Amino acid sequence: MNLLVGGIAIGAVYALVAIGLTLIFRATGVVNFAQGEMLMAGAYAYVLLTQSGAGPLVQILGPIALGAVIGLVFFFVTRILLRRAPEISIVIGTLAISILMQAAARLKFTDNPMRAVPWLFGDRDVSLGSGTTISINSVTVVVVTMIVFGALYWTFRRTTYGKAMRAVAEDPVRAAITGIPVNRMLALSWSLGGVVAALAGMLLAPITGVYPAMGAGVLFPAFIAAAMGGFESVFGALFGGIILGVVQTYAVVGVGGVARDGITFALLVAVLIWRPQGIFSTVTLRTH
Amino acid sequence: MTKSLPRFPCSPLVYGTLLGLAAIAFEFTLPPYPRFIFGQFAVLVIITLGVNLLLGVAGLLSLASPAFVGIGANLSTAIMLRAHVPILVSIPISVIAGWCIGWVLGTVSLRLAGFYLAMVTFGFLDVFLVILNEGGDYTGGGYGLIVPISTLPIIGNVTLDVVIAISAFTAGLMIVLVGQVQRSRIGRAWLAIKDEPIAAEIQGIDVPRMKTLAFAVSSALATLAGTYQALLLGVTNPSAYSLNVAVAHLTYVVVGGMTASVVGPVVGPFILFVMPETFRAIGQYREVFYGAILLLVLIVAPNGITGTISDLMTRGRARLGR
Amino acid sequence: MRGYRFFASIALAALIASLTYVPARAAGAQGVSAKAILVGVQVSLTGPASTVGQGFKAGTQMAVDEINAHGGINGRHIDVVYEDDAGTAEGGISAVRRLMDQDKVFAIFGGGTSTSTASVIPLIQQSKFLYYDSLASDPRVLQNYSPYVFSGMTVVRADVAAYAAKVLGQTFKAHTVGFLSSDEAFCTTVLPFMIPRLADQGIRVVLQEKFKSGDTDFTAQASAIKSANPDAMYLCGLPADGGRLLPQLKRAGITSKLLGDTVFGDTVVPKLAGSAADGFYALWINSEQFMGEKTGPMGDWKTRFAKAFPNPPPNTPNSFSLAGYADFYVFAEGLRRAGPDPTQDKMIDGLEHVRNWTAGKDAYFTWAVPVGLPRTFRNGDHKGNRECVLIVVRNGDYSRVENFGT
Repeated sequence: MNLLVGGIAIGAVYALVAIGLTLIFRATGVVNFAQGEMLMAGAYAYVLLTQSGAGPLVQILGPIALGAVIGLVFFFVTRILLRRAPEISIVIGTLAISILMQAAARLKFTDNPMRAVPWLFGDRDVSLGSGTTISINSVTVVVVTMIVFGALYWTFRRTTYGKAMRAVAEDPVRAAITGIPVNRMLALSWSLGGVVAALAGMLLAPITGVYPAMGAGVLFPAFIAAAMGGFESVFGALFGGIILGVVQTYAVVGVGGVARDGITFALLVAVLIWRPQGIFSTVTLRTH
Repeated sequence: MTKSLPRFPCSPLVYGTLLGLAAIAFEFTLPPYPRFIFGQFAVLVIITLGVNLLLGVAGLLSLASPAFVGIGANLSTAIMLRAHVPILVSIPISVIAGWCIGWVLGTVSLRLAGFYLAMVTFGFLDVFLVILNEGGDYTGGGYGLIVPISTLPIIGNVTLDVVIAISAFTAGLMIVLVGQVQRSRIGRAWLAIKDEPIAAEIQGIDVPRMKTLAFAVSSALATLAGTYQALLLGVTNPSAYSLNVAVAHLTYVVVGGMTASVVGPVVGPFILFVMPETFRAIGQYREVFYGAILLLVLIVAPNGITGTISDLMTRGRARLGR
Repeated sequence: MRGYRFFASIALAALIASLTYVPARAAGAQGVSAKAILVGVQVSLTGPASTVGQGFKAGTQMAVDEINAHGGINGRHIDVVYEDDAGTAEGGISAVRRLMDQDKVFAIFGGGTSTSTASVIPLIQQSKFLYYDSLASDPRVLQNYSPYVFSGMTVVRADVAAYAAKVLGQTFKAHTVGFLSSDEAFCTTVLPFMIPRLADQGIRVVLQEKFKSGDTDFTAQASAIKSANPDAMYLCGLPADGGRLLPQLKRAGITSKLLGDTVFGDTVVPKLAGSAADGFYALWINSEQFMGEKTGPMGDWKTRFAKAFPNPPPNTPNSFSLAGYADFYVFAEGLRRAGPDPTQDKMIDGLEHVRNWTAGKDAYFTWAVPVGLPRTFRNGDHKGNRECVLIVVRNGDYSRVENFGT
C-alpha cells in the first residue's frame, strides 16, 4: 500500500511537470527543455522564503509569481529574440537558458541540497490505517496536481481565454485574423507553464531537497508522461505521469533500482510503437 | 542553399590526404599542451561531422552520438586488452561494429521524427550507459578501462604524439570526404528528405534506406572518433558519455550551422570547446560562459554561423543582381 | 595542378621531420626557481562536485598562506596554480597535462574527485610525476603501487570495509547485517571487502538492497529492510542520498542500527534529514573532531578560516577544506625534507620518512592548527591515513564516539 501511495505521489510531480510541458508545446510549438530549471527556480524561491520566515501565503505566492515572470522571460527569448530561428534552434535556445540557470544556481548555492519543509503542514506524517503511513507532503502533491489539472481543464474548455489560447495553438494566422492578440496569448501560455513548473518545484522540494540539478532529474519522466498525452492532452499528461510513477516504484521492487531508467524507456518505446500520437490525443501525429 | 566549394581538380582522396598532412604539420608547431587540446579538437570535429550529417543534412535529431563514441572507445580498448591485438585491428573492427549498430538504430527509428526520435535515441544512450556500468570486467564497470600501449608498423609505439597526428590526419581527411558525400546524390537525397519528405518519396528516393545510411555513416564517424579519444586520454570512463555530452554535440552543430557545409563542424567545436579551454581564467564561470555564448550565437545567428553566412551571401548576391 | 605536388612534398617532409621529434624533459627540477616553488593543484571547481573543489581550494590556500607568512619552505615561498578538472575523467587528464606541460609545476597536489583522479593515475605513472592525492578514495589510485603516487586523508576502500565491519560487530554487536547501497563505484567496491570481514565475526548478511544515486523514493527498499529486520544496516551513497533516505527509513518504522559510509560523514546528511537523522552513525576520516564542534583545535581552525576568508564560497568550510589544509602541510613537510635543492625524488624520499605526523604537533610547522589525523608513509606503502573516527548524530549534528586505527 505504501508503494502505491509513494508511486502516486512521485507520479503526481511528473504529471505536473508534464502538464506544464504540454501546455507550452500546445500553445507555442516549443519543447521546453528548461522546464526542469523553472521548477528548480521555484523550489529555491520557496526554500529561501521559508527560511526567511515568511508566512504560508507568501511561501506559495512567491514561487508562483517567480514562475510567471520566468515564463515571460522565456516568451521574450523564444518569441522575440529568436523569432527568425528554425524550430530546432529555439529548442536549443531553451536548452541554453537551462544551462545558464543551472550554472548560476550552482555558483550561488553549490550542489549541496537545501532542506525544504513541506508547505503548510510541515513535516508531519499521516496514518492511513493498516500500518500505512505517508508524509503529508505526498497528499499535498496529489491534491495540488488535481486542482491544477482541474483548473486548466476548465479554463481550456469553458473560458474565453482558454478557447482563445486553443485557437492560437491550432492556427496562429487565422487566430490573428479574427482579432486574437497572438503574442499576448503566447505570453500567457508561457507564464502559465512557468507557474505550473514553480508549483512542481515547491512540491518536489521536500522530497528531494533543493539543488541545481533537481529539475533535470524529473525532466525525462515528465517528457514521457507528456508523450503519453501526445503533447496534446493535459489529461494524457496527468494519466501518464501517475502511471509512470506507479510503474517505476513497483519496478524498483521487482527488478532493482538500477533498472528504473530501463523501465521508463521501455514504457516510452511501448507507447510510441503502439500509439505514436499519444494515448489520449485526438490529432494525427505531427511530423516536426 | 549552400555555397559549394569549387570542384576539385583531382581526387578528393588526394585533397583529403593533403589537408590531413597539413593538419599534422600544423599541430607539430604547437607546444605540448595546446597540441593535446588540438588532438581533442580533431576528435570533436570528426564527431561533429557525423552529427551535422545526421541533423543538418538529413534532418534527423539523435541524442545517441556519445553512445557511439563510447562504443568506439570501449570496444577497441576491450579488444586490445583481451585479444592482444594492435590498433590496426581493433579500430577497424570497432568502426564496423559502430556502422552496423548505427544501421540498426536507424531502422528502429524509421517511424519516428523530431522529438520522438530524440527520445528513443536518448533511451539508446541510457541503455548503453547501463551496459557500461554493469559490464563488470568487460567494460571496467563504473570505472572504465585503462588503454594499453599499442604499436604500429614503422612508427613503433603509439605515443600521445602519434595519436594526435592520427586524429589530426583523420579529421582533415574526413572533412573532405564527408563534404564530398554530402555534395553527391546521396547528400542531395538527404537534403530532400529533410526539407520535403513527401516530395522526396514521390521522386523515387528510397527514404528508409537513406535514413538508415545517414545513421550508419554518422555512427561510424562517432565510433572512429571514440577509438581515438580512448587513445588520447589513456582511459575510458562512463562519465564521458552522458546526456550533457549529447547536448554538447548538438550545440556544436547548431552553432556551426546546420548546413551541408563542412566548415560548420569545424567552427562549432572551435567556439564551444577550444575557446573556453584557452580562456582558463574563466575558471568556475565556464558553464555560464558556455550557456551565454550558445544563447548569443542563436540570437545573432539563428541558423548557425555557416547558415547565417550562407543567408548573407544569398542576399548579397541577390542585391547585386547575380 | 602542379601546385599541389609542391604542397604535398612540404607536408610530407614536415610529417617525417616531426615524427622524429622527442619532447625534451627538463633535466633539473621544473617548477623551482631561486625564490619560489610552483605547486600545481588539480581541483574540481565546476561540475557536480564543485563543493568538494571549492572547499578543498579554500583549505589548501589557507595552509599555503600560513606557510608563506612564516617564511615559506627552505627560503622559497610557495606559488600555487589551481586547474579545474570539472569532476570528469577527461577534465582530470586535461588539468594534469596542463599542470605538467604548460604551467610546468614542481609536483601536483590533488583534490579531484574519484573519477577525475583515478583516470589520471596511468598518466602519472607513465610520466613519472609526483602526485599527492588527498581526497580520491578510488581503489585504482593505490592498487598498482607507484613510487610517484601518495594518498593523504582518504582511506582506501578495503580499510574502510575493515573499520565498518569492526563497528558492526564490536560496537553494535550485530548478528545480522543488511546493506543499502547506491550504484556509485565507491559503494560497489566496498561491499565485497566487507562480506568476508563480517563472516570472520560470524555475522550474516541478510539482505543487499540497491538504489540509484539521486533516487527520491525508497519505499521499496524500506519495506524489504523492514521485513528482513537485520540488527544493523550499512548504508552507502552520496550525502544527498543519505539525507533523503533516512526520513523514509524512519517513517517505515525501521529499528535496525544504521551505520553510514565515510562519505556520509557530511553535514548535508543531518541537515537534509532533519530529526530523522538522530542516532545515525557514520565513519569520519578528515580529522579528530567532527566539523560541527566549536571547541579545541576544530574551534581554533574555524576561527582562523573565518578570518582568512571573510567571504567564503558558499557551503565552506567543509570537510574537504580540512583535507586540503591538513594534507598540504604534509605535502609541505615532504618538500621541506627535500632540502634546499629540491627534486621530485628527494621529496618522495622525504615523504616516505613521515611517521605519525600532524602539522602543529611537529617541530617545524608549530603555528599550524593540529586538525588532521596523523599521516604515515613508508617506502612501498603510500597510504597516509589509517585512522577512522566513529561519529553519531545527536541534536542535529554529528559528534565523536570513538577512534579506530591500525
